[in-house]
Amino acid sequence: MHDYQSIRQQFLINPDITFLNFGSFGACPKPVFEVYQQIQKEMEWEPVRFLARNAPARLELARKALGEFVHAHPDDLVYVLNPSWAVNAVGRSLKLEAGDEVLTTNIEYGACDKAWMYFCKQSGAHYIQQPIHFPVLDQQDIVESVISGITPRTRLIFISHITSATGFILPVSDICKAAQERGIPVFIDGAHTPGHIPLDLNQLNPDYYTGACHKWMMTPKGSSFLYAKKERQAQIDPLIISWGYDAAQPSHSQFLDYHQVQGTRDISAFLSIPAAIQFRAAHDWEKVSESCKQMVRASAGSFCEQLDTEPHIPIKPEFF
Amino acid sequence: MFSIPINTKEPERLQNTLYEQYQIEIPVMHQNEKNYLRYSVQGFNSPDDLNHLKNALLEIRHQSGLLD
Repeated sequence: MHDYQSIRQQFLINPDITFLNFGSFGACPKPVFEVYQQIQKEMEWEPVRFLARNAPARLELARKALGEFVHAHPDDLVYVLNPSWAVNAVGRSLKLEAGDEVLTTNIEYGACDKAWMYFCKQSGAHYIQQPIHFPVLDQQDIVESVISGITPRTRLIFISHITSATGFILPVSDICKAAQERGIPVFIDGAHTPGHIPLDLNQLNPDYYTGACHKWMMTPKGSSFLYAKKERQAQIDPLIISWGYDAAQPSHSQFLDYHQVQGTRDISAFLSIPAAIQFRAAHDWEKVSESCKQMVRASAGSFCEQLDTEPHIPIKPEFF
Repeated sequence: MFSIPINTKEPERLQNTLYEQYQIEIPVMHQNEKNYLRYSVQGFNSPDDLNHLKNALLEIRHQSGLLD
């Protein structure tokens, strides 16, 4: 069992509340939050130097740290405020046509459903939500439900890595392999993934991936990333057209120019990511995390028994 | 993180009751005509936190119509 009493001292969370909703917006440890506020002070101290001169190099350092953490090349990652931002950037860039299909499940995050429904409605495309039947018997059932929805008009598969309302891990690696064998690109919504379960983007090899750092990585709020495979990067337009579009002094990467320059904004949360990664290492967070998962697995069945309901998933490590 | 399938006709009131009467911050999720109580465990959570939830659910189920 982890030392929850001393860990609690590290957080700003209201001690009068039994806080069992980390999944929605995370919570940032005090030492990381202090780094965040220090960065904000630096920004106010010399705003021009900070935002106009030093931002690209500082963002690069933060992307390198994140790249090591999620096992991706730092130039294949750009910071966004939240996963919805990433979904909107990619969705708008796909240039769906009438009759095209975006294939997904019926257990996705509501805000992402709304974004895809909007893009489909605008273009006359269809949002195909394959039903996932409960109780789920095994991961292979889910792979088959998704893959059986592929048609000649499927433009993209969009799928959660860990679902939101139903809170379990989907077999994204198998879905990626099966989809890519059929030439269908895959976009994974990993809002709940980084810092929660191990993430190796090189190995997983999705076409697009978005993850929130402000949940289980415990960074300040408003820090997330969009990953795109090298060969997909040129297709994604920036959500906000700004100086990085058709840049006067382009960097080595159009992907970075397009998505990193999004008008004046507070980039402090992005720059706090290395501190959050250091906090995890200093507090042996892999062990803490595993201990938390054991608490969940040990209690899940008894909560269901208590309420006379059946778990919708098997109580096995591959689902948690 | 685990979503407990629950039977409730008043998901919002259940969530409010858990917060206001028991000081438990926990979301009641709704999807495809089903309701779930999703609890997350992070390093600062103790077994007492889960016991507190368990006792609150027991009491709510016996004393109100919020949980079938």
